[in-house]
Amino acid sequence: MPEHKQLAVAAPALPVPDDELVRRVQAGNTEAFEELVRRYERKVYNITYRLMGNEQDASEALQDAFLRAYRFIDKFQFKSSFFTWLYRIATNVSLSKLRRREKVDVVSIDQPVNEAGDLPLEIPDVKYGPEKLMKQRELRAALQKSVEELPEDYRSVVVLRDLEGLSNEEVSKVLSLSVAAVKSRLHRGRLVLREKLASYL
Amino acid sequence: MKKPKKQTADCHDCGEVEELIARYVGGDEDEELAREVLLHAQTCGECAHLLRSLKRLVHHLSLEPNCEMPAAVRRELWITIRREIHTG
Repeated sequence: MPEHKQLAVAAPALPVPDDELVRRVQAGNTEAFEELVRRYERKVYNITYRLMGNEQDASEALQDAFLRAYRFIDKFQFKSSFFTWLYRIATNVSLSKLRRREKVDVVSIDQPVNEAGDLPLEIPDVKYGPEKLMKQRELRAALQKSVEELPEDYRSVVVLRDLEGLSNEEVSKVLSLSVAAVKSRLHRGRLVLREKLASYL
Repeated sequence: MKKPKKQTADCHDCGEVEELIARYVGGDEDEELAREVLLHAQTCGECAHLLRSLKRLVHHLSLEPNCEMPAAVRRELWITIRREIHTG
């Protein structure tokens, strides 16, 4: 009779909480910081890309955000969650770069939108097939472009709240705004987007 | 809370109802607000359209997939991070 070995199934290790990783980094453990980077690199890239609008600038902002987080992690006092603190750094870095970029750009993002160029054509109601997929791609492109063209105050709130899914309270912490101000900017931003995307909605 | 105006030619222009609709779509759980907004939308085509389109907008935004981080961007990030933490 074959001998059956009892296979010991190890319980999956629970992830180390962010705060514990931060404490380890503060104590000089660089591997703990690498774990934090692995944990948040994609989310932070999402924020920098959506705020900056292109890969090159988003990449620079991503690197700057993590560098600053590392250099200033001793200042982190656990009064907020680590991700809120990190998103705040990423948002501030992106907006700061954006302001510098706008100073040298000839075209301002606040410049009125060229109607013919920016408003998509009326979409026929096609439920299936390649036409629908194409229209969905058009909608996504139009959404992304319209978000990029939002004034900075509205854009940061819309990106964090509607695209990244943070709560109003979390956005208020990231941007150092009152919850009422977040709601107000979110409403205004959505109304602007709705105008720009009217033919899709 | 201000009550939405009944249907008039200028109800959409004054911005007041828009603001209430935006609050409703934004997740404000005030029951009176919800009742007033929905009641008004039943009598005002323009505001009903605004309500529908804002709901669709929020829905589309929530469905937006995460951006794919290109391999080159990730490589650059890690070069920068490792240079910083290992050489200071």
